[in-house]
Amino acid sequence: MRTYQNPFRSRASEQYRDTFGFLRYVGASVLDLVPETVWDRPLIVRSASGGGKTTLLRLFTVESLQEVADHREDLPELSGRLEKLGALDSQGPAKSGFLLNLGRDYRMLAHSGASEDIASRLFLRLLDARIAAAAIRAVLSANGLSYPSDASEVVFVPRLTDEGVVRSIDRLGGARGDEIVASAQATESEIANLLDSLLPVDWSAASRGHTELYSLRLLSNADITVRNTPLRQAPLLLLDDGHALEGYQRRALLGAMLDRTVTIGRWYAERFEALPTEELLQDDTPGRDFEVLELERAARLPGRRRVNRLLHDVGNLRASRHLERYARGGRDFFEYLEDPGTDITAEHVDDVRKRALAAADGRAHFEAVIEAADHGDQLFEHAVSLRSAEILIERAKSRPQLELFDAPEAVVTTPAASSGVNAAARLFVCREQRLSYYAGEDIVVGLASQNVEQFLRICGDIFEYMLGRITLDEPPTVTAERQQLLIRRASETYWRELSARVPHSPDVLSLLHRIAQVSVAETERKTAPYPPGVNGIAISMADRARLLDPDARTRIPGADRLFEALGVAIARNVIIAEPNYSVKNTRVMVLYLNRLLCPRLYLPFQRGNFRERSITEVASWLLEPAAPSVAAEPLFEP
Amino acid sequence: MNETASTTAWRDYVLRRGDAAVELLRAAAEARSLTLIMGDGFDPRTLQTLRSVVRLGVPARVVAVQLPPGPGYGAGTELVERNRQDLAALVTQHNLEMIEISEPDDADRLSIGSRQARRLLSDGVVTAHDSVVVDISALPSRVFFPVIGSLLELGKVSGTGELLVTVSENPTLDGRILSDGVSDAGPITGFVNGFSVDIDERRITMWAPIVGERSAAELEAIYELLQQPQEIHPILPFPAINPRRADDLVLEHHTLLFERLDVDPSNIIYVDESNAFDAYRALTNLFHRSRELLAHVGELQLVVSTHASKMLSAGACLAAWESSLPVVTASPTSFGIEDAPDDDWVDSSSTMCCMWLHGTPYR
Repeated sequence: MRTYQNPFRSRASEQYRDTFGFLRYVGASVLDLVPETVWDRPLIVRSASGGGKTTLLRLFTVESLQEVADHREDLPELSGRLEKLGALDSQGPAKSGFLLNLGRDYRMLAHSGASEDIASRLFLRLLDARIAAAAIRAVLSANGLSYPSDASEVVFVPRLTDEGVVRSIDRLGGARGDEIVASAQATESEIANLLDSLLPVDWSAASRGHTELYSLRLLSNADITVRNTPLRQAPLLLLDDGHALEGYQRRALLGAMLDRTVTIGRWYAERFEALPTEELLQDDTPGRDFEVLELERAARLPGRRRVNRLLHDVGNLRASRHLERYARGGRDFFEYLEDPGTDITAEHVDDVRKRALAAADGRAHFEAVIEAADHGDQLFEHAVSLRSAEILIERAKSRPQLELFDAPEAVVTTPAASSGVNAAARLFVCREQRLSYYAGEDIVVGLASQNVEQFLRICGDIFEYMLGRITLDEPPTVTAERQQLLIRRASETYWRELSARVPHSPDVLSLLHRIAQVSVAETERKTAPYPPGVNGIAISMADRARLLDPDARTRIPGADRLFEALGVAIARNVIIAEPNYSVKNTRVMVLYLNRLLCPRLYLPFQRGNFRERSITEVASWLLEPAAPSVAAEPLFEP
Repeated sequence: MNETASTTAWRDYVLRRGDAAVELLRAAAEARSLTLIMGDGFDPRTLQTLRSVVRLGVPARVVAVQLPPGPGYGAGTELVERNRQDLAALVTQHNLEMIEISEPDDADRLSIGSRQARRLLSDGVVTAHDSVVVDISALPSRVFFPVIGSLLELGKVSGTGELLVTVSENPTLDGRILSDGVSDAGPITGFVNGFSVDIDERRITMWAPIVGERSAAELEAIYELLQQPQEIHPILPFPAINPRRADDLVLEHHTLLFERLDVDPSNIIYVDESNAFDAYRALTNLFHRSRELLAHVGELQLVVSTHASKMLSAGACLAAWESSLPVVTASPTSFGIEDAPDDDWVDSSSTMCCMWLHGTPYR
């Protein structure tokens, strides 16, 4: 039997050893997020896990740039954008990017039992060794030479003869590549043996370390030659997974990167987890000497369609070759997804009409509104029009008693007048008639909450179903009904897995359940006061300030736990925080549910609708855990 | 699986259960008094080995290794307190010497074990001539791996002393222990063994996870750390008390193993659930055979992780120590147990197993 691969089941950055395979899956639109001024100052990239940091950094390694340069015709969008950014030129890579992962043994050093002074110096020495060796490796790769056998062909020629550069050469083992590589290997071996020893270690005998990053100084103040020819590419240091560092290591590294005497390009990526909760709740990024790119936040700023475009590209790039091969289909992945509402029948419309008439309660002016709404070119739009009429009738009924001379018809506007009411009616029709709401490209892309990993997970489920149909020799089209089933199942799984994946999960879950309860209660109100529905809460900025103040927290029962839980939830992208949101002449911090949490509860995921709560109330939620917010009805119909 | 000449240290081994396990403790106490190293966790089996030792009436002292408090739930935290009180009562009643190895303030999850293990030796709590029993029933792998590793290292250097490991087996109780959260994956200090995920064309990374129930989040975290290892060899328990356990595990992790991780079903390795040395042999053979086969392609890095019973984890520990294999972990951030089980039920349904790892039987 033929076996099929699901291209969404592995992350792009994990296509580790096949550079071209990695590049083929990368949506070039990710480069649109990169600021223009990134070569003369540090760039700090932040996101939740799976936000695309590693993918972005890996695009700028010399291996990737070389591969793009060699396949410009196969990768036109990537090559065009990389040229525009200045990473590629007509001759090939203009940057010699080298990627180092900080998630290795650096943190071990901090916890080794050595004093902070010794551990700090060993940290800088080890990092120096690895930066220097990786830079040489990248230089060799850019010139088609082998590492480490050709390392002697690389020579650092100081532009300055100041003491600092001379000391850097001395500390790194020499000015020739082979000397530096040998010294780096010796350092690696020496420190690894100390760290991993199962027998007691005398740390005082292991105090030889560095007090600064000599490698950055050398790379900034020396010309690099390869076989006596000046290196064409500018070095670019790419550091990934900075969140794995201990606090003082992270501060020391960022301090070294921000040093104005360092002139090479240097990028540093970390998860939000690295930030203290105080910083996670901030609305602005500090500093002017460096660029900060927060992937999810950038995606929410004006122009976010670019990110939806990126996800669209990622989906189609991953699936197109497989669909073409397996199903001989020439369409894009998303073109196989039916739009919502296509599973409606005339009986559903009749049922919606009956409900509206029941709400009218025999009153002529209400029935006239229903009659006016009782039309539509397509069944789904027809049903939505009728359901909008019902909402308007409910709103009219809930108003205070009419003034003596109010005309009854004036209380109801035509359904077409309000897109918000229509949006709420759309959700109500789908929920009440058990029709598919969560279907179509916009929904699938939107559910990702700007997180690539989450997007791949949803698409992976949909593609798995496509493969099932292909196996049965059927076209890989996915009905709206099936999409809804898959998406709600993914949402259910996401809820269930939270306890296993999130630290402090009991408190985080309590918070989520309460936000979900508020959202469900508001969304289900007959008058749909916040169309199409609510999916978050907000606290005032004054309350946020109280939450950030340790003293104030001691006076609010549950506030310390809320502070911790919120930090974890935001860092893990389970709650999306939008501080400083302007509403009714005041400013609030909105806390939205991750969009993938919404389908489980039949909530919409459009942003902008939330209910304000006081910090005292929200903190008290953690002291009295809520009953799970999962719906009483079975999730999956038989 | 064929034996290779490389399976040396425990080619012939000493493993006993129940009463026979207790007899091993008696034999080990013949030359010198026993030093029992144990954890102070919530596991209801925490004190089973100590109770056996005091029933034997042999001279002994207790080394209690403190564990990070961490948030527990259900009856978990209550059990920690109860175990501590019972331990204090036993120590007083039998006039035992007790030494506490505290948790270093500045150590993280992955290095706590190695720091505590080094302290055992540097503070002279354990010397090369002692008869040491490590009860791993209440110790997490990130602690007992370095503790056993350090003691094996000490024995190797000195050539003296006795080292035994006990574990109280109870699959039903294992199933009632719940966990939540998952920490970032990383190598256990003392078992890093050159572990690296940096790009190196010459390195071939192979991963052998000992798969257990409800371990999907841990497996995914480690897979993410390893960045697409070239080969994955899941290790499943068979034979087992529940003969369908391996099948159930395959069903539970089907999507993860075969779709996301793209595991070749022929890579699955089965080991005897009740024999640590079977897991040891399987991993050791896998390492030596693969290293030999892949020698002309590159340098093998066989990464081990454990997500199942303590018994199989102990086997992985021996293989990793002997062959210098990296061991990575992504452990839950908190543990709990919904209802504290009755002590009598725990005693009657648990079986103490004892492995003699170093000393008289091997001289």
